Amino acid sequence: MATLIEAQGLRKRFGKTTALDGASFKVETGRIVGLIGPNGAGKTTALKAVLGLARCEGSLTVLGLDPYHDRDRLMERVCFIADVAVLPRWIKVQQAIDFVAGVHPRFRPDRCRTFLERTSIKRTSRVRELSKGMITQLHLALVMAIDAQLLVLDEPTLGLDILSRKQFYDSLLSDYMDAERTILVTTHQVEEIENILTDLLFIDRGRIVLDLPMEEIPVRYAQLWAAPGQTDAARALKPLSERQLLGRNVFLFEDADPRALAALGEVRQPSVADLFVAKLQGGAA
Amino acid sequence: MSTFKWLVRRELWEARTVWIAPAICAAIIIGGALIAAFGTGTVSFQGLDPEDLAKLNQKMTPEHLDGIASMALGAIAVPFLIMVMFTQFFYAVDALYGERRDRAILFWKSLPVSDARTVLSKLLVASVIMPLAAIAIAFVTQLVVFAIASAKLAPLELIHGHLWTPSLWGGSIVLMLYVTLAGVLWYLPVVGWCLLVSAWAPKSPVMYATLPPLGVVLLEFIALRTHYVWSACIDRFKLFGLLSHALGGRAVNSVVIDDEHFQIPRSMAEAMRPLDFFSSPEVWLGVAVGVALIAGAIWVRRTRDEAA
Repeated sequence: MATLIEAQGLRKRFGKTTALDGASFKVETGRIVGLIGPNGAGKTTALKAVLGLARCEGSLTVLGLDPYHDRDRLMERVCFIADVAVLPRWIKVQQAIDFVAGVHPRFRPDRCRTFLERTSIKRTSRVRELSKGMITQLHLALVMAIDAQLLVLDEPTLGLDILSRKQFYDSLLSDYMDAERTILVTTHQVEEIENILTDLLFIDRGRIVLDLPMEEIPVRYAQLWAAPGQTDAARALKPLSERQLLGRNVFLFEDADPRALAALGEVRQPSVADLFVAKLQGGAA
Repeated sequence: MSTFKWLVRRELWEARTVWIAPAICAAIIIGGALIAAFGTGTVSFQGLDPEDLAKLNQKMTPEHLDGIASMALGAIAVPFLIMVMFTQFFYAVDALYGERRDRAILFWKSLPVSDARTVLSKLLVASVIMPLAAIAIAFVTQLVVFAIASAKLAPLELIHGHLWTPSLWGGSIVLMLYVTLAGVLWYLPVVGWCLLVSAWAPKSPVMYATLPPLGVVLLEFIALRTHYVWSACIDRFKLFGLLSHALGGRAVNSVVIDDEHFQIPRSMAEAMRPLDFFSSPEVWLGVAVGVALIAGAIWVRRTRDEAA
């Protein structure tokens, strides 16, 4: 499997704040990677570095290019949706299609039209006349019609209602994703993308604190709903985190012996959100 | 090159003032000409009524009448040239700020288009396409106004036969194209400054474009009691600054018409001073400053980290 993004020791400071503090990670072809972290963890800075929008210390290659210096060439093979509603408000749908077709060598207008025909977006409308959900659909249609190797999504569904969010990820999976493509996505709504991700990258205070394929979660992590009276025994096994849920003590373990855990209560697979909370609290402790 | 064509097309989709402003200008002038011609007023020129004009007409040589027709064409073009400076200013000041304000810059930057091309497409629209559009519409306005004037003046036999000569219109077109070309060079530092401020200003770029130069002017006046900066700035900004350099100032000042005397150049085009203009160090110094400012605008757009 080819390595698409390789970052080594990325550092970036804005005045006194450190946005990236030696972050290192790899992204391989054909994966859907979730870059997840609390506000101010450095997600957006990392994405900007990958997209060549900001310069960072450290070494970074994307598709074999230096993103900052070869930005114009990189953008022929990389697409991004930075935020909802960043399409220019004055542009007409048809003009947006014509323009992207005019400047992007890998854009296929027929594909874009096919996507748009499934929506209620009229090609004579101006962006300012569309709803937020429709603008996102339009943006996605434009981006999906580009034959890009890497798609970067930064909070693409922020502020959208749940139907639009679902629609967004559904079309992404069914119409866009294939073995040749790679998606790097950040979002706060982890639950919604949990089942489409293939890999997790947790970032906290500018560092990567977890880099894990999804299929390894059940292998390496376990959530224990401790039986009454077993709480101290569970604590002795050094859990990552402990919390009270529905009057029971719930522990999250990393690389623990599954048989030892099974003896102490009910073992479940943790969700990404559980893992996120445990990892980040662990880091803070 | 085709990318650049699309960039320019995009600017024209967005900046409809390129056409709307001169169209409004044309509507006002043509409306005024219609009212003057078919309203209740009488034909007059500089306070002279038709009888005086008729007398004057007798005294004038054909060269003088050609000159008057040429001045009339020039007078129609001037409002367009003044108007276009303002549309250029406001367009250039907003060109790189607007895309940051509505965050669409993140969409533009997601496409394989370099910052240099983007900035140059905006420069081309501000410096070349806007004035060309303005003089194109000025030309149409001249045709319409002269048609109205023909209809009105033919019976009076005033300046009749001097309104539609090829040399008159040829000279006028050459003059307008020359002034436009000279304007591209003359205004380049102003447009470059506007683009740089537009790329950089955290908010209200019009203020950032105007207040610092005014501050320098004020400082110079308070400290040195001189006004060199003011003169230099205003010379670059007002139409007369351009005309006095491109035309040597004579065309506008040499015209005298009263009851007894008249002194009129045969054609406004005679006033062109291309050799003086294109060999003037002042012009090329301005171009150099303009190029540096534009390079600065490209650099700022390239390196500015949006919403860090």
